[in-house]
Order: sequence, then structure tokens, then C-alpha cells
Amino acid sequence: MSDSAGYSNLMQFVLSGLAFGSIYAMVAIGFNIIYNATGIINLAQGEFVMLGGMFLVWGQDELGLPVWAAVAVSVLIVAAIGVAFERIAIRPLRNPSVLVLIIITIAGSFLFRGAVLLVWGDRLFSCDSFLSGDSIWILGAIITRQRILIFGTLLVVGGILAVFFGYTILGKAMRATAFNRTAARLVGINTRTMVMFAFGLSAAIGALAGAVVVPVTGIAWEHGVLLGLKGFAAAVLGGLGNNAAAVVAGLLLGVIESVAAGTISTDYKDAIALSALLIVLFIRPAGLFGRAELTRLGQL
Amino acid sequence: MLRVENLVSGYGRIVALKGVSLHINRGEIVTLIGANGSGKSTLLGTLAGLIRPRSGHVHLKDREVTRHRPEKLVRQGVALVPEGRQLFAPMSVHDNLILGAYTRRGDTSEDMENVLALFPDLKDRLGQAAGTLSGGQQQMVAIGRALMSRPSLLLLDEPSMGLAPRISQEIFQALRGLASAECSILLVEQNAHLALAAADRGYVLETGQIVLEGDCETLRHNRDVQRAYLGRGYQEAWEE
Repeated sequence: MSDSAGYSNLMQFVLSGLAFGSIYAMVAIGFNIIYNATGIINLAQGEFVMLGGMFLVWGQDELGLPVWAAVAVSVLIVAAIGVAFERIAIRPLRNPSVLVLIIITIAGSFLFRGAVLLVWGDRLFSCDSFLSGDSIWILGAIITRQRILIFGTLLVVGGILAVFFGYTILGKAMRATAFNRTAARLVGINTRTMVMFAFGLSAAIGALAGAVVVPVTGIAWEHGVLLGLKGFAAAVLGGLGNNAAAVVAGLLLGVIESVAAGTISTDYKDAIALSALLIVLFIRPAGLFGRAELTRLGQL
Repeated sequence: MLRVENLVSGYGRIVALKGVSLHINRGEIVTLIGANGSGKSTLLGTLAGLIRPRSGHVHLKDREVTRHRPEKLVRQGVALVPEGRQLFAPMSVHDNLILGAYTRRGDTSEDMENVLALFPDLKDRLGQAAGTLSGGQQQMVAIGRALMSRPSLLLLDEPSMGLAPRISQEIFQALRGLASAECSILLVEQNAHLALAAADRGYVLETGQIVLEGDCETLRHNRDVQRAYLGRGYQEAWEE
């Protein structure tokens, strides 16, 4: 194999990896938003992603909606499910421990998976690429339009969140709730409403990630588990709670996975990606970009 | 302005307040002095809605506000500057102040200017993370944040704690200027010297009960107060 062929192969793996990395990054952001608002790891996050894909296919096939409308409908439905989950399963508890809350989210994930299996069965659903047209040559690699769209979706989501948390009063109030709940209440912020928003927002971002990935991998009732796990890995890899770090870590994870699949073995790509996580955590327990303080993880 | 009747409150099984009654008139600065564990912070926490009282009543401007949540009390004009300041440490000074006005709609730039006029030290630090400021400046941000809600009752919990005497003086000077027909102040303080110099009236709290009240002049000359809170020895008091 010549050098230039080696280069273009590597480029191919890296750019393909960025698309999946974008999905992991979006799932990681979902984990972070709920973690910041409540201190809990929402283990149903992967299920929000799966539901996003499922409702996209449902919107297109059952309602006959055009693809963009189906994405919007799916995101709204899943956001509503996130809010309902918070109101029904999380909010009624009085002084729950973090561990109890996390176990509730595990129960939630079983519930969502079971419901989808019951309603739609165990079939793999798919849909057409959102953008028609041929793949595009970039830097010596060939990339499908859907993968570019996935990467673009991450950029747009990241940009909107940066503006939301940095410049709007509601975003600032959500951050304030994360930093100091008592002080947040004292300035008049309804912290319970902020927690509800956090669940809605996380579910919406997860659903969007789930919707854009359908044309590439398809979607089935069990897909949420691995997507959630990889997203969680990205969140931890970056340092829990830090969205910018989650984006970098998610992309990194996607690229490592893709390069490993291309150069070593596709069978072991998940194992290699998760081993990378383990190695980083042995060396830097607070994540690549995390500060040394692990006080909040200490609650676990 | 504020009327508290027979307030009983505490954390868990501990009853820290055993029937406290007090009042604050419009525009007054009232101080509450007492030792550690006398129930001062519990009283402020209860008035701000963070702790639910067991019994008793709180009236604000002749409206019953007992057991209201903090987020509702802010809208009714109560603002607490909590012990230890409790800033949103990683956020900028500007964002901390803006969040103080969270309950208000409309233009708040005038309030921002007023806070900066009161604490000019903060002017150059608006973009800095609040947690990186000195203790005195953090206290200024905490007071400024409370003022942004335009409170009619400002509650302060140990504003001099951990500050150099000169900085405490400066902050108390600012407090004196704050009390007005629109804003009354309840000041909890361990430094009785500072508190009695700044306030109009005072209450002495001991193990959850008010044991003494009066104008500051009278309290300053009270022997028990001198002995217990102003640091005059037994001997001095005896020889007098």
C-alpha cells in the first residue's frame, strides 16, 4: 500500500468517525444537562435517542410527513416524554438520594424499551437520507451527505446551547441552579421548573441525535443501550457537566472507534472505544478536561 | 413592615427558635445579636422561606406570608444575603447581579448603576468570575445581588464574617445609606460593636428566645450585653 493510499484511508476513517462522534457528543450533552441540574446520571438518556429515531420513522410512515416535519414532531414528542418522566417519576420523591434517582432512570429505560418493543416490535426501521444527492469528496475522503448533516447538526446544537446558556436569562438561571441551588431559590428561581426544563431539553437533544442517525444505521428498540453507553463514555471522558469538553470527547471517541474498526477489526470497535475510556479514567479520573474535584461524583 | 409572632422553627428534630416575636418598622435597621447556635441564622432562613416554621406567623406589609417558598417571597419583597455569601462562583459578577433581578421584568440597568455606585470596587470586575474576588468584594456582590430584586425587606446574615475590619466598616457604611422608606433591614451579626453602631434598634437572641430588646443606645449600656457580646470583662463591669 502506498503512502497516499494510507493517508486517504485514514482520512476516510477519521471523517466517518466524526459523524458517529457527533451523535455521541449530542448524547453526552444530554447527560450533562441533567447532571448539572440534578446531580444524577440519567440512564434513560439512550432511550430518548432511540425514541427520537422511532418517532421520526413513525412520523414519516404513519403520518406521511415530510422528513423535516417528522424530525420536529419527533423532537417535540420525546421532549414531552422527558418532561412527563420528570414529573411522574422524579419530582414526587421527597429528599431522594442520588442513587435512588439513578435507579429510577434505569427503570425508565426498561419501560421505554419495553413499550417500543410492544408497539413497534423488534424490527429494524430505516429511512432515506435527509438530503438527496451524491456523496462528497473532502480531503481525499468520500463522505455521504447524511454524515455531513449529522456533523452540522452537532455544530448547530452546540452553537444554540452556547448562546442559550451564555446569554439568555433562562439559560443563566439553569446554570445558576447547577452551581448553587439555595442561592438560586433566594433570587427567585423555581429550581423544580429548571429541573423539568433540563429533562425536556436533554430529551429533545437526544431525540434529534436519534433522528439524524436513522438513515445511516437504522433504528431498533435495543439501539438506545449502546448509544447511551457511548454517549455516557463521552460525557465522562470530557469531564461530567462540561458541554464543550463533551463535544471534543464525543468526536474523539467516534474517531478512535472508526479508525480502530478500519485498521484493526470492526468486531472490536466498541471494545476498543470503551477501553480508551477506561485508560483515560485510570490516568485522569476527572476526565480529559475535568478539574480534580470529584465532589459531585462523590455523591454516588 | 414586618411582624413576627411566636415563630417556632428549626432543622429536623432540632427546635432552634422557641417562639420568637419581633417587628421592624418601615425604614428601620434592626439588628439581631446572639452567640453561635442562638438561632439567628434559623430565623433569617425561616423569614426567607428556606425553612418552614412549625408554628407562628409572619406578616409582611400586613399580608400573611408564613410558609411561603423563597421564590415567592422574593417577589413579595424579601431578599436574603445568606451566610457565606453563596454566590454563583464560576459565573461573572455581572451575571450574578443580573440573576438578582430574575423576578423582575423590564429595564434593570438603573439598579445595576445604583449597585455599582454603592460598591465602586465592582465596576472594573463585572466580567470576572465571582468566585475569584476577595472576601469583601464577594460580600458586595452578594448584597448587590439581593438589592437587584428591589427588596422592601433586606435580610443580612453575618455580612462582616471573615472580613478585615476596614472592609466591614465600608460595608456597614453602605448599609446605613441603604435603609429608606422603601427598604428596611434586618441585620444578623456576631460583631455586636458594628451591629449596634449601624442599627436603630436591636434584639438579643439566646437559645432560640428573645431575651432583650431596645434601641441600640440602651442595649450598648446594658450590662449583660456588654459582658456577653461587647467583650467587657466581669471586672470592668463590676467596678463601674
